[in-house]
Amino acid sequence: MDQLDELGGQEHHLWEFCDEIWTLVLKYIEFDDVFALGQTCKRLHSLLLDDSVCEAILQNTIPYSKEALKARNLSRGYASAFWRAAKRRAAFRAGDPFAVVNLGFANSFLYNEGLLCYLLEDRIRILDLHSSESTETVVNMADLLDQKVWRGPDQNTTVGLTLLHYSSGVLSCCYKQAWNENAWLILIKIETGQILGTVRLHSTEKLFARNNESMLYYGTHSGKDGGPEGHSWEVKCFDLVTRFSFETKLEFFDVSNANIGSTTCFEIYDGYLYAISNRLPVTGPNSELETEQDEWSFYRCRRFPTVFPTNLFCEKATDHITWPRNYQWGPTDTRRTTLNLRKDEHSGALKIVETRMGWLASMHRSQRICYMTDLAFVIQHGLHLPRYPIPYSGSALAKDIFELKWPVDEYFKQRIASLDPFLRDSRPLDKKLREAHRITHPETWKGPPQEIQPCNDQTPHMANKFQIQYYDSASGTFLDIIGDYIPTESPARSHLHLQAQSRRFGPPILDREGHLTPPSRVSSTTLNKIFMPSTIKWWPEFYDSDLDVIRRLLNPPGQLSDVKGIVDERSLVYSAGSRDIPGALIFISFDPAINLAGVEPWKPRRQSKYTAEAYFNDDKATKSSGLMKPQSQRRHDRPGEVVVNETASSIQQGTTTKDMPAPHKWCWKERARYLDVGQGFDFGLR
Amino acid sequence: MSETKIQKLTLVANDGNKIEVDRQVAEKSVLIKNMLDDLGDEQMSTEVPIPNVNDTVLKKVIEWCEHHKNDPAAPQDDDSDSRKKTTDIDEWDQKFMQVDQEMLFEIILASNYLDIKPLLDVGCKTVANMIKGKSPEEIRKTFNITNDFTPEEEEQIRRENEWAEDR
Repeated sequence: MDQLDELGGQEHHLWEFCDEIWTLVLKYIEFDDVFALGQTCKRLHSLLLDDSVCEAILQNTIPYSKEALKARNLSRGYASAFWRAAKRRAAFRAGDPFAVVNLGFANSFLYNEGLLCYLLEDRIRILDLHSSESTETVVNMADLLDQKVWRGPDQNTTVGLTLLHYSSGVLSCCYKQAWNENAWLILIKIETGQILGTVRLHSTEKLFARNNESMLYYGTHSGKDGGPEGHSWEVKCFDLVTRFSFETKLEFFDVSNANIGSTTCFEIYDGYLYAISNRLPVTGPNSELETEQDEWSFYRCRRFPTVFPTNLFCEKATDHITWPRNYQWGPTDTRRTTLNLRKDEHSGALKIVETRMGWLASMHRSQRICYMTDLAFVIQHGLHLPRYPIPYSGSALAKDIFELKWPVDEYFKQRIASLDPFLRDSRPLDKKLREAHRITHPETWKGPPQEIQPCNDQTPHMANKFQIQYYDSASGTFLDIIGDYIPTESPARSHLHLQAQSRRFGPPILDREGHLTPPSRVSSTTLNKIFMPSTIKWWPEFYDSDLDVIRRLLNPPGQLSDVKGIVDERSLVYSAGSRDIPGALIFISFDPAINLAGVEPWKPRRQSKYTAEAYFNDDKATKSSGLMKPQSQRRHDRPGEVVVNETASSIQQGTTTKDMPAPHKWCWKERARYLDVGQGFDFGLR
Repeated sequence: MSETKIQKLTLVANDGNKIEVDRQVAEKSVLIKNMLDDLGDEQMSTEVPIPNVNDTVLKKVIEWCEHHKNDPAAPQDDDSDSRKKTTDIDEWDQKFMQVDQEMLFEIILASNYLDIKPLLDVGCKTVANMIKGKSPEEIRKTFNITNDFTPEEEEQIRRENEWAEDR
């Protein structure tokens, strides 16, 4: 430095780089590193308020996030999208929500694409939470179906109504008459108030429905072709445009597991219906291993183009080997397995996301681990061009690729043997297993380290306390609702709270000489080096009496014997109550842009670990702040606050909103019930 | 225009020091290469001023160019995901970049000015590696950045509500 000064050079700072250099630096760092950089000083913060800079960051890091896609669609608002995504991911990681709201009561509910559909008595209510709506659509099923049909011949028996799915404005539900077991699938287009179709169902066993804007698929676990694994799935299709019901059954005889969300997954993405099931290893004290294949867990994946509901167009995934699990390593806790298909925010690729409790033989405890596996499909009938390289090729595989049936066991044996060193090992099985005892799940993972995440929740009997569990792949967070039993309380009951454990990439690993050393394979040690250590966080924090009011909100009065929840990438809805009576619906938002009308700002603020005084006077904080805001954000005049009064007053006068094209006696819009319940807190700074 | 190409160039740093370099080495700089193409060898046979770079930094940049003079040209605008990998810096470059932060920034600025993209890439990757996986406080410490936020402003950055674009 002295030398530079002598030569007339001047000191340079990080923030003095020109845009061209910054664009390049930002290209090489992860999204969360950019967020951290923006919190260091005002100059670097202001860099991240520029729409063009944020557009490049979003495109480079999370182009497939909802925030980035929306900004790209609008061709503006990239800075707002960046900060929205950054705060959302940070809130997930810290298990520190932006809002908690009691939405009312429900007998049952579903939550998909940010829309909440809940059933209370004979009415289905639909509320768009991601759009912070203050009105909800109400469908009176008793009027829709005629009172006779709804009440039954004796006018007393109520029907069974099950909400199945809501997507692209179409609600599918199952209507079942208790007095004769007849069941129908009812499809309602909410926006236009049309019944798109009714389909008589011959079985309702594990009934599911999935749809996009043009096609709806529904299925039951009632097929006779399940072979030794029991029933198989029978899936049929309904064309939502022509209202034609296809009688052809799609065959999923190899995707036979019955529990959707746990061992099987059906989802529609980009014009394909995907069916995935996890083939579990053979376990149990009396099970004999007939083939080595029985020792391993793998996925069975199939898909159909939604516009061609025929078995001729079935495609299978090319790579389904996931992770090895031998029964002698100890039992897996299948009660806590989750299986989902999600789109990666960074690559746009579909990933199988599975969390599983597994016994760690060397550590005498179980551990929850999340595995993420890329799906790769092969070209079939010229319908599909793969977006990602297919990992395997060759003439032997080419035959398999164009087979329409699922390959025989021999195929798996060969595939596993060709892929896995454990099975290529010709030593006796006993010797191999003894060696395997020394390793745990992470070491057996053959994918990249960022696609496996162990959770370190080591509380005894933890598995029994999970009421809701979710893995947020965007932020690398295990987010759970935990029910802790409080025996000292009278009457003794469970208390629900949030638990989050997350990780993020740590600094690059250097050797003794300071050279970069990318880890060659995954192990517990290398995972700990690659990722920043994380601690488990609880919310609300224990032993803080200021937070009692939040604890009460999370734990509605009465026994919480029946807790059910659905989590998406921005929020979580759960119902808590006793079985057979309506439970309270609790909404927890991690998205700073979901601002439900009338929700009270939280005061007093909790003391922040980083900024001790910050929360106590947020008005002062906002007014005295010299912080700039994103250009697009400055343009807004706090629209959320204005909407409340206008909407509320019009609804109170009994008028329908202008959004409703034609009023129906069985379908209308009215003031959202959460406005009347009036229980909730907004933890964001306004 | 002379029949034979000049083989040596004399670069003059902003402090007046002159450094003679092989043409092949100097042409790693797109700026100098374009000057040679535009002005011709005769013009360039005299000294070439590099007014934005001092002697120490220029020598360092030339050292890098010497080492990489036989490297094939990098593909243009390769936006593949592999570019994001900051661990694929070769060992010599890693050692080359083990300099104090001031020199690192000078190398980055010089390579940007001289238009030596592969060197700019290595410099930016090195800075990126110094940012990666760090908290805001750790980044401040690494780059000697003064925290000019009040505690209220820090909290505001993390926890202020955002307003959706279409509302």
